[in-house]
Parts: sequence; C-alpha cells; structure tokens
Amino acid sequence: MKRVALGLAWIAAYLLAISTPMLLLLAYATPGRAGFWWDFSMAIGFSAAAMLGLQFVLTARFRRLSAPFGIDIVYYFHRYMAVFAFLLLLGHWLLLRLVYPESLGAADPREAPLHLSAGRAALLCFALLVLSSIWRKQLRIAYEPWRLMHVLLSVAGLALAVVHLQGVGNYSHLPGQALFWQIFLVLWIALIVYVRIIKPARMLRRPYRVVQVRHETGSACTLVLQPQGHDGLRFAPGQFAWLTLRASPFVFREHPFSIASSAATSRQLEFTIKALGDFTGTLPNIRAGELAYLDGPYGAFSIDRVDADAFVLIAGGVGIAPIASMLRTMAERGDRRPVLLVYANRHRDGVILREELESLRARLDLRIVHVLQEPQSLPGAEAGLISRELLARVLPQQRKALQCFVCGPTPMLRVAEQALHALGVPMRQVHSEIFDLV
Amino acid sequence: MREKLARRLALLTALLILGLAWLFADLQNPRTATAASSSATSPSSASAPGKAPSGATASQGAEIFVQSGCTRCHSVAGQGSRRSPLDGVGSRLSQAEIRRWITSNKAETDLFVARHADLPLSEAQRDALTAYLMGLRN
Repeated sequence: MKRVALGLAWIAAYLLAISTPMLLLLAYATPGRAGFWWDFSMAIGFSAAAMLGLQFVLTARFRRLSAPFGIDIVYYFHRYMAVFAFLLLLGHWLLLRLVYPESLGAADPREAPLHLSAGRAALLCFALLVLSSIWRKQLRIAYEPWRLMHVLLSVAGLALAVVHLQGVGNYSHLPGQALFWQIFLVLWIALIVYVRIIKPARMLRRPYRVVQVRHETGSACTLVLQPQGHDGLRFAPGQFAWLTLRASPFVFREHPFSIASSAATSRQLEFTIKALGDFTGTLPNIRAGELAYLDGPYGAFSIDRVDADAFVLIAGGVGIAPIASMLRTMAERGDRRPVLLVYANRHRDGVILREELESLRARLDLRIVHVLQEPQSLPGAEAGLISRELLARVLPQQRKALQCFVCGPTPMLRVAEQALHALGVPMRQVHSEIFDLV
Repeated sequence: MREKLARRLALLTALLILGLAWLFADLQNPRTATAASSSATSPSSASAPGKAPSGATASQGAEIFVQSGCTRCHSVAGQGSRRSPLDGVGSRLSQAEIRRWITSNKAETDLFVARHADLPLSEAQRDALTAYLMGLRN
C-alpha cells in the first residue's frame, strides 16, 4: 500500500513538473491575439522542453523513484515520453512553418538569427536521438557507441533548446517563468554532475573482484564477485544490477544482469550470463582476479514483494538467472511454499543449471517441468514451446492465489502472460521484467 | 503486460499537456472578442491594444497591427509578447524611422532590418500602421 502511495506521489510530481511552465502561462495569460496556433505552438514547445529536461531524471536510476514501478517500467516510460516530446517539438516547428512561415525567416544558419538556428539544431538532435534509439538494432549500432551518442546528443539537444528559449524570450517576462527555467537548468546540471561524477565515484570506492568464472552448460558462464573492502549489496531475489567489467565506472560501459545467487548470503554475488551479444560474447575471457563495479540492485521482479501461498516460475533460456536466485534464496531460508518451475529450452544441453535445479528439489517443495523443442534428449520433458495448453496441463487447479514470475525472451513472455491470465491468474499476480529496451 | 502502466501514464501525460496547451491558446485568443470586434461597426474597437490614438487612419492601423500578428513579438500596454514593447515608440522614433522599420526588407542590411517587418501591405495600410504607431506616445 505504501508502495502504491509512493508511486502515485511520483506520478503527481512528474505531471506537476512538466505542466508548471504551462500553469504559469495560464495564471498570467494576457490575451494578445497572436493567433490560436501561435500560442498553441509556443505552449507545446515549452512543455516539450520541460519533458526533455526530465528525461534525465527518469534514467538517473534513483532507487527510490523506481522502486514502486520497477526500473524497467521507468525506462519504458522514458521511451514513450521521448517520442511524445519529440512529436511536440516537431509540432511546435511545423505549426509555425505552415501557419506563420514569416516568423521563421531564413533557414540558412548564416542568415538566420542564432536562437532560431539553435532551435532547428535542437530539433535535429532530438530526431537523431529518437531514431537511433527506436531502431538501434536495425541500424546496427552497437550498445556502447549508441549510449555515448545518446548522452552527447541529448545534452547537446537540451543545451541548444536552452539557447533557443533564451533567445526567443517569449513570455519570459511573466512572473515565475524565468525563475522556473533557472531552477530547472540548475537541477538539470546538478543531475548530470550526480549521474556522471558522484555516482561513478561512489561505485569506484566499492569495487568487486571476480573470484571465479564458472562455465555452465548451454554456453553460459557464471561470474562470482566478491566485494573488496565493503559488505556488498543487499538485494531481493530476482533483482538485477548494472555490471562494469574491464572499464572505469566513469566511461559507462555497463550492462544490466540479473543476480543469480541467493539473497540470503549476499556477500558473494553470482551472475549467470549467456554469450549472446557483443558484450556477453567476451565474458568467457574474463579471468579470476579482475575488478568489477556494480550499480544496483534494481527491479521489481521479486518474490519478496508479494504475499503468496504458492509460486509459478516460468523461465526461458538464460531467463533462469533471477529465478535461480529465488529458488536458492528460498532453499537457504527453509521456505517450503510450493513452487512450480516451468523451464523452456531448445535442447537438453542448453538447460542452464540443470543439475543444481535437480538437487534443489530436495530442499524445496519444487516441481520442475522442462519444456524442450527437442524433448527426446531429456526423459519426462514436455515437447514444444510454452503455450496455453501446456500451462493448463501443468498448473495447479487453484489458480486465484498463485503468484507467477516470468522471465525469458519477449515472445515467450507475451505467450506466458496471456496464457496465465486466460487460465484464471489475476493479471496483477503475473510478474515479468522487460529486458530488451533498446 | 507491465508496460501497460507506462503506456497509460504516457497517454495521460500527453492528454494533459495537449489539453493545457489548448486551454492556453484558447485563453490567449478569445474568440468571442474577435467576433465582437469584427462585427462591430467601428473598426477601432477593443481589438486595438493600448490607448487608441485618435483618427480613423490610426484606428485602422491598430487593426492592421493585430491582424498582421505583430503581437507575436511586440506588446502594447501589456498585450502581446513583451519581448519588444512598442509603448512610447511614437516618442522615440520619427515617422520616417517607423516607416522604415515596417517596410525594410532583408536586402537592407542596416539597423532597420526588422525580422518580420517586410509585410505584404498596401501603401495605405502602411500609412495607417505608421499613424497608429506614431500615436503611441509616453
């Protein structure tokens, strides 16, 4: 309940922050007959600026801010808001271009006033920002260069927008309007200092050392991290952290991974990772003794956040990592609540942690259903993919009180979520984590 | 499924922002007053901001001032954008100077190049606008 209240408070604060420039305009509205679309265009321009400034807050990873929603949802919101704010900017410019073309003057930056060129350049920055984020994979931009580009374009875009706002100076005489933008600018710079300098410095002071690299079945490997000179981090089973390897925390070459180890003994942390992408492919080369940095824990995907009599855990491939943490934690806590694990893979050899999962059955009230596309490789396995029919067959009859956790590739996630809902599990009891953000 | 929350919140935000922008634009451009001024018998009606300078030409100029969207950048007696107030311009500038501000175009590169001044106005309209601006005295 407290979490819901906090969530609503954050939403209210966000809405207030982005509508403040417009509320100030409304409070001191002085009919000027500049034209309806002129004033509309100005208003959406201001709002877009406020929204784009707040985009940095959404991805600053404030744990308290993201806790009620789960940070994946906050990132999702960041993405939606980016598109909307960009459309507002585009609308702001288009309206002027179409209805009041004389007000824009020459587009050539050699002739145009500086603040109008700044506005055009800002629009271009944000266009590149949105396009490169939505179609990062299609454009074949690797994650790390993309991230650097994202930061540079967003800071440049907002700085240009500030030049534009200052230069145009519309409505800036209104009481509160100038003050609002000054406060906004100061907060924005403070935020960049916090995210880019203070936070990495804090991470640098709390290093971890890779003490073991374990090769798992299914071309996965497990990194075991030991905190150096501090007591590590406390997390809830199912949460994740941003991991930095072979780089300083200041260069932001970090990647999010689920913590796979038990939350009951949190000094050593384990990350079980499959070599899939450009970064994870290099992981098997990591040697024991190397330094690592962590930013975390994050995420709302945890059995500790719900009251339940029984759990259904559904994993696909490396999606087993957070679920392994849940099972290991339950085993160490002596938690005997019934658990059904449905674990989908292509082939027996791809089943990560298969033997350990098997051995956990002795310490938990655990039933495991393996779902394999090549089922003949593992006796007793279900054939095919996770589907509604399959879940209908293996799920317990009493489904109203089940708490379900689903982690795996997006198509599997969709199918499992819809199937669970159709089979009588209330939607709010189906939990998942959205991984593929950009 | 969870992203629905983000989607709904994004939609709510979008509606709020567009609604507020609409409200502001509507308040800034009262339709009833415009209708009243255009239907009024005298063109020198309330639409002319500031103290209405005397004379039919000047009040015609006041109408042109509003119609041409000058208030996007200029204000008179607090109406319009106060970035470049024109209160008292009649005391500051001579008639010839005001006329040059209105008529100068981008080809002229001296101090009189006003950004949007090159308006498609007739000679008579320019005279009227100049007369209106000349009437704005301290």
